[in-house]
Amino acid sequence: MRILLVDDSRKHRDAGVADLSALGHEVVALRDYSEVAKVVRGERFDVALLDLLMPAEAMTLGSAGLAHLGESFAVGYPLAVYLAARGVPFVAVATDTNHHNHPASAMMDWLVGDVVTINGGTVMFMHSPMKSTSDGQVKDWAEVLRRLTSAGEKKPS
Amino acid sequence: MRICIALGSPWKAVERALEAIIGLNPSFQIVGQEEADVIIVGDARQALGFLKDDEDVKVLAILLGGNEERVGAESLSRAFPDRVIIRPALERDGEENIVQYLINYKEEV
Repeated sequence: MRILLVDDSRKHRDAGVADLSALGHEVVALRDYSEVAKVVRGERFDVALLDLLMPAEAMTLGSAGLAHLGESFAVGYPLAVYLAARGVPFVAVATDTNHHNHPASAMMDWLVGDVVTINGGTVMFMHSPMKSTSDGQVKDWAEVLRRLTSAGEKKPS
Repeated sequence: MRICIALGSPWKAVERALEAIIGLNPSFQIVGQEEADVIIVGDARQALGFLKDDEDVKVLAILLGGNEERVGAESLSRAFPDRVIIRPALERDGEENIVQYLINYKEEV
């Protein structure tokens, strides 16, 4: 499968590329969410795997907006909707932030376990499965993919 | 302290000047980006990329432009505590500028 992985954390991104590539998938990994629109234009992806919280980027922001540059915000939610609306059939948002430590991760509790359908695609939100590596604890994006595609298979047609 | 200067192409002359100043201070060593403890940048947007890529690196943001640069740099300073140092290119309201900072810096032993 052709997978778009968006995560600002280098260790989670590198681990995802390694694990998903080892499974035979083609992975396009992005550090900056501002690159997503450009990358998906005219390109087909089978899966999008997204971080929830990422630092706010400058993009088209003026002075008032730049006062938020770098702030961690829940970009995973609108990104998931954007990508599903553009026809990516499987989309997952996975966070490693403890749900006691950020309101956006706390909101994830409302969505965990649900399989949402947007534009016919399967969208899931989850607290990320983790695994131990020499870099410490990293997201297990291969397990995220397995849960996502399994959920998609179980959806009534 | 290992320093990398990454101001970018419009600021090559400023980079050369900073290299000369940094060379005067034995506390500093100029290195490439991968080995740097601190990366000197002139753009808050660029600074964000460095901060994301290496959790240990700090950025020294020189305010070369207008108010927007300060707003962005100060926001990064709040978002990444203890990892962003901000200095104006020119002294303003008694604030230590980049040259004074580099000359006066002494590495703690």
